[in-house]
Amino acid sequence: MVPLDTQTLRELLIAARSSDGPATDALLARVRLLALRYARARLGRFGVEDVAQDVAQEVCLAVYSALATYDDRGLPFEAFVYSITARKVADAQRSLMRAPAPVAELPEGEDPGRTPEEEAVLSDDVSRAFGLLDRLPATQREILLLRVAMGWKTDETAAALEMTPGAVRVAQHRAIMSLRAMLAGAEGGHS
Amino acid sequence: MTTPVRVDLLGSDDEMLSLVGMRAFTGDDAVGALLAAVASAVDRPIQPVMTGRRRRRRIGFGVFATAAFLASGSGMAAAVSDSLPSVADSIVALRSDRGAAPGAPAVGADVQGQQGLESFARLGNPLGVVTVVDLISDSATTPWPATTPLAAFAGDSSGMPSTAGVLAGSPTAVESLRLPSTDPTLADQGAGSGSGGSAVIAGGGGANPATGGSGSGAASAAAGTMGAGTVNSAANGNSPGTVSGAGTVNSAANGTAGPGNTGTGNAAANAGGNGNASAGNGNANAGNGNANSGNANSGNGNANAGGGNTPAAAGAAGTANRATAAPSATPSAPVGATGRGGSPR
Repeated sequence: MVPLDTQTLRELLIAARSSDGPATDALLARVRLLALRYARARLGRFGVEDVAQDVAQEVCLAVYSALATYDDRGLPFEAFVYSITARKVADAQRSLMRAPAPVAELPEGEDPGRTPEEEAVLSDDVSRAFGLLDRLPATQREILLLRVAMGWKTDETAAALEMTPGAVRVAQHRAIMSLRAMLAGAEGGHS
Repeated sequence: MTTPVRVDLLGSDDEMLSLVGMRAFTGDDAVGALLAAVASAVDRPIQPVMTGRRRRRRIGFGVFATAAFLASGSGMAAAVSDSLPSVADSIVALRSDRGAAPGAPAVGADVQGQQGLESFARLGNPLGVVTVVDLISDSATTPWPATTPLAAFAGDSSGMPSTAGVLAGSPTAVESLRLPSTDPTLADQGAGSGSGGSAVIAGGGGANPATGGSGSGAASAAAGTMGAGTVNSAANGNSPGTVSGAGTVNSAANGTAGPGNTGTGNAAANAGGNGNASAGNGNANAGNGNANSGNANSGNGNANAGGGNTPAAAGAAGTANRATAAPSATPSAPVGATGRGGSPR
């Protein structure tokens, strides 16, 4: 038997529908990770980790509620998860634009991760990357997010966006070319 | 027209994105590094950010708050607070002024000038309690500072204002009224005093057995802050009056009446209130003390003693009046009545 952590979402879905046990837990854990990454990628500029966590939680609840009634039409389950997550994130963005953003408390403990210098460099890179991604067309930006943030393969991304894998490859190539052009223009402007 | 795309580039970009998605990108491509930073960012909790819009709003609010404070009355008050009169300076106005007040009645003014208020305590006040407090003339022209706490008029246990300890160097009205006096000319007198804009002290009167009933009424009010208070003194016997008042005004009146007499002392203390005490025999009314203060800034003192029914002169605004009873009052009442006027709180 294939371990749960190496199964695809579709395999986990089939196992979870047959028995409400560890397969369901593994499926929801994978769904939560995907939703959380996507929510962080879309909500990162707001600086609201708690909202991203809420979105991931709501996606998990929606997926779990839909397990019994899910109609498997042969499409990747990632597409179903993506459709739910995208709508939850859109709702969160709408709320964030209308409501004041809470400020998280500063952590008391020492961060064992990166040094302050590395954090500063990474933060600068991230902000610059999201700034450039925002300048891409919506489809190209969504493809890159799914490929990079959620770690999906081309066919999974294509299924989620209801595109063909070839169209996804072309679109992602154009997106990367545009990013290179933007970077070159930005560096030329700085120099 | 769509630009043609090379298939080999499609493959290389797809491979790079797969490596970045698996968090295994180690190349030196600028876009790859940029996307790797995005992948790294979504694996970590979102860091709180403060947008430039919020920064500007905070700075703008700080500037606005500072400007508002500087332009407000609080800023001005803080700047000029050093020149404000102190509480100690304000209390000086409470000092007993035995001099003739402007507008005071001529009758009895000499007696008052000689004896002050000591005589009031002598006049048949069986309780030995201070009846009336003080006469203030300075306050007629000097408005009481609004900032003076009313605690400066803290009363004694009987509800009378006690200025002892506050008016150092000068006998207080309380002390003066406790002093014995043997001057018979002070019988049958009532006094009222009013002081505009400040604590008002009403006069008191006493009854002299030789002349019949007398009484005193008192009323007091403090400047503009007093609620209505009524004091009903004893109708019979030597009972102290009851004090009731609203707000911060408490007045008291004592009235004693001899046998067969109906003595009534009423004192109403409020801002512009009246204090009345009547006692004596039959129609004899002794002592009316009216004190009005607050906006009226006037004081009235009325005293009717025995059968004389001699009203006291009305005081001018903010002045103390001391009304005296008619010395020829019929001594129909062997025991007079005394009224104890109220005072603030």
